[in-house]
Amino acid sequence: MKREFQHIIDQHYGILYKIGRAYTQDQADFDDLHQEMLIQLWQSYTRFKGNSKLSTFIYRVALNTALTHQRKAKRRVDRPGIEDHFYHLPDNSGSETEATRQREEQINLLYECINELKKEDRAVILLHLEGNAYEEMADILGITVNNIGVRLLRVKKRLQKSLIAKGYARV
Amino acid sequence: MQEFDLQELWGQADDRAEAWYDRLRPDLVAIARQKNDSILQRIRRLVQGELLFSAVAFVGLLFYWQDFHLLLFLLLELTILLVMVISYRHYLQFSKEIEAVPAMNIVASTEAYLNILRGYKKRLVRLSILLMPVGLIVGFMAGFGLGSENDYSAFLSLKFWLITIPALAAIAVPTYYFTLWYYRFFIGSKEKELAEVLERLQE
Repeated sequence: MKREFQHIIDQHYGILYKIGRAYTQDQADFDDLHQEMLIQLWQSYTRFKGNSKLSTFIYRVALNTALTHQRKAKRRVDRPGIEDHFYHLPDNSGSETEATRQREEQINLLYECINELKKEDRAVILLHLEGNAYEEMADILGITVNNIGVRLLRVKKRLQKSLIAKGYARV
Repeated sequence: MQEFDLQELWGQADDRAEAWYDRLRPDLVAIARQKNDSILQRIRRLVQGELLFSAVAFVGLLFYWQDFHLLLFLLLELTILLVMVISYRHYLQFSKEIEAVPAMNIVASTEAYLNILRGYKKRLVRLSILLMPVGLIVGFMAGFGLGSENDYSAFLSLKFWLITIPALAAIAVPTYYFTLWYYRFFIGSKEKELAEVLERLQE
C-alpha cells in the first residue's frame, strides 16, 4: 500500500504543488494544505475504483481539500524535512542565474494573480493551464462543458487584467 | 497577452514542484498517515466523544444502581441507551457521508459538505436546548433522591414544577444562542464561504 501510494504521488506531485500554491498565501499555510491533501489522498485512494482517470480522482480530492481547507491560527512545527524556501524567493543556493531568478519572479507573480481570483475560478484556470480537456474539467468540477467554456473565458480576462496591472503581460 | 506565454510559464513552474517533492518524498507516507484535522474529521471526533461519554455514563451508572430508586435508575439507563442508539446510527450515516465527499466532483462535494455541516448544526442546536434542561432536572432529581433516601415526594408538588419549568426554559434560551455562536465561531465562516462558492458554480 505504501509503495503504491508513493508511486501514485510520484506521478502526480505537480498537481498537489500547484494547487497548494494557488490556494495559499504563505509557506505555513501551504505546508498545512499539502499535508491535508496527502492525508486525504491516503485515506481516499483505496476507494478509487478506476471509474475515471487517476488524475481526475487526484484533482478532485486535492481541489476539494483546498476549497474546504481552513487556515490555522498557529503554525504547526511537527513537519519533518520541509524547509521554507519552496514558497518564496530568493533561493539561497547561490547557483541561480539572473534568468532563472527572473523566471521564478514571474512564476511567483502568476501564482499571486491566480490567488486573487475567486476559489472556484482558481480551479478552472489551474485545470486549463494543466492542459485538461473541457470534458475532463467538466467531470472534475461537476459543471457542463458549455459552462466551462464561458467561465474559462471570463477567468482568463480577469487573470490577464491582473497580470497587466502588475506589469507582467506582453500585450 | 498571448495565451502561449502563460502556458509556457506554467510549464516552467514544474521545476519548483520537483525541488519541493524531492525534499518531501522520504517523509511522504509518514505525513500522509498523520491525524486528519479537517473540519469534517473534527466533527466526527466530537460525535465519537459524545458516544464514548454516553457509554461511560451508562456503565458508570450500573455501579450505583442500589443508591437510586429502581424506577429512576431504569429511566436514566434507558434514556442513555436510547441516546446511544440514535447517536450511533447517526454516526454511521455521518461517517459514510464524510468518506464519500473528497472523491466527488466539486459541485457534488460542496453540496454534500454543506449538507453535513447543516445537519451537524441542527443536531448540535437540538441537543443543546434539549439536553441541557433535561440533564439539569434529571441530575437535580438524582442528587435530591440520594440525599433524602429516595424520597421524591417534593417533586410531586405543582409549585415545584411551576418554578422549575420556566427556569429551565430560561436556561434553554441562552444555551441556544451560545450554541449558535459556538457554531458560527468555529465553522460558520467556512459554511458561508462554501455556500457562496456553490452558488457561483451553479449560476
